[in-house]
Amino acid sequence: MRRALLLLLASLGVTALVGARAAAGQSGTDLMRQAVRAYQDLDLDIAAGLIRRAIAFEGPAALARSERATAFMYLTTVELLRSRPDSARSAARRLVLVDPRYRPDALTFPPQAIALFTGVRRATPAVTARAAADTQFRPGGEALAVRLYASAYHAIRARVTREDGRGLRALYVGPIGDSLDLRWDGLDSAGTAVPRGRYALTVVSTDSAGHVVRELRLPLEVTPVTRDTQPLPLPPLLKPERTPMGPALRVLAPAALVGVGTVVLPSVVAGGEDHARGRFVVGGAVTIAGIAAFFAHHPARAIPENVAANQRLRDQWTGQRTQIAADNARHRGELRFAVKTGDPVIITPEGP
Amino acid sequence: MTPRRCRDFVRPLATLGLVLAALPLATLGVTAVAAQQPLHVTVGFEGGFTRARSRATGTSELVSGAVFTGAATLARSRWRLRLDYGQGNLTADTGAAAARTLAEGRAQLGFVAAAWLTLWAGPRARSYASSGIRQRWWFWEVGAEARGMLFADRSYAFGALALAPAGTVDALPAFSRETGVAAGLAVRLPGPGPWARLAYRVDQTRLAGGRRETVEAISLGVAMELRSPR
Repeated sequence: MRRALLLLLASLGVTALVGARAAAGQSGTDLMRQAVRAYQDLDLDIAAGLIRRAIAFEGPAALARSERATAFMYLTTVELLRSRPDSARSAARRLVLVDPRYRPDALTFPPQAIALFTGVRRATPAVTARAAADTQFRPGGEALAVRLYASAYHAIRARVTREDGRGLRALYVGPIGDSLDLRWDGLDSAGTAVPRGRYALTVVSTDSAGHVVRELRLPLEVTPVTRDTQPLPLPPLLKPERTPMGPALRVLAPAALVGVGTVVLPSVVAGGEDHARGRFVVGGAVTIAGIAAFFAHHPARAIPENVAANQRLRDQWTGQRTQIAADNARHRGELRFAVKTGDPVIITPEGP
Repeated sequence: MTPRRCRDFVRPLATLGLVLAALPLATLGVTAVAAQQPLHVTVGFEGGFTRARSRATGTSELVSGAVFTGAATLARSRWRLRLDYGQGNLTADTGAAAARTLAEGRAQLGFVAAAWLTLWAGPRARSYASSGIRQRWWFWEVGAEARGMLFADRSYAFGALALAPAGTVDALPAFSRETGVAAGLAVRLPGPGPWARLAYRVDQTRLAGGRRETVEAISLGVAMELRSPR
């Protein structure tokens, strides 16, 4: 008897472990798939339980924003069909806060559920924001663009705030219908570029009495950046402006050697003799011919075509260099902001 | 000139003639097989003033006169064959000297080591004939000749060094060595004409016992390039 009890406990433990692993392996999307099947089979209680479990998932297994909105719409419908209108309105209100722009599919959801959701949406003023995840702009001249989407026509106050919520710059006060574009140029209310830091675009939704009913916070991370500068152009390759000396020297050298050799070498080869003076004639003739050849090669003579071409190249290079240097100086002195936006968060002061 | 003197004068030149005949044949045979290059022939003629001085212990003789030389150069690929022969009468410039007839010939094989440098080697013969007395000189000479162009294909300067480490001389003390140097200017006459050459050369032969024989020459000549059909 005792042995049988131990076996039973062991089998229960294994079953629980396997079940827990199976549950851990599920995601919000899987549960929603089961919930939709249960809804279609009109197992409304089971569907409601599964939807709530799916919505409760966090982390990597959590539903995406669009799936979450759809889950709330299913929950609204299920609760309505279960004759729980308060729960249905509560689910619809949470749906509006998740995605103020959500519009239910008339082919999927019954008209009464859509009507209930539409009523709740109109009675729940809220906005959401869309902005590029990463933007660069020149403060004061360019701006960060943010588009607001509203659940219903209502009044809003939009401003840029510090991370701790203190106001920095008011951007807009007034009504919003379907959507509204806001632009922030990176300056505070005094017209000064804000320092590096974390900020937020805060949009407060008010009711007809002016009470704050919702607050949207879009995180902004502002980082000053420096624009890249261009490298200065390399000096141009210039043509020679004078004829080279080399060819002229190459003809002068052998003539000079022969001329000198004619005078000197006889004394070396046949020392102690009174050599014929005629050798000076030969040496002189060779040397004079060498000098004539030297000048015939026009050593170091200016080449006007190359001088003019080089001057054009120098002028062009100087112009490019001056232009790029000026551009670089302007870029170095130009402040630019890199702004990263986070996920928008909707806060309801009195709670959902 | 008596028949004996004539034979004495002709004998060394006959030897030179054999060499002159053998060397071109050998050279042309080798080069014709080695490379089918066209054969270039240059012929020339020059006349000049030659002065020969002989010094021995306590004595000095000086003779001078005009000497006329004919020359031919055969060129194929990088090889050259140079043949020349000159003759003239030298008269005494000093009281102790006797007038004599000079005959000189050369047959040398050359190799163009660089565009500006040619190396030469070969025999050279010289004969003095005077009053029935004959001296025959025979050198084995090596040399180098360098050229430097002054005006492209129109003019160049040249210089040459020569050395004869071995040789024989008749009726004189034993041969020691001979050194020589030459320099000058060559100019092509207008058009595709001949080359005119102005040259100075001097060589000195040292014999045993301190005897020195020095020959100087200043010459002016022309040379014409000929081309043979292949």
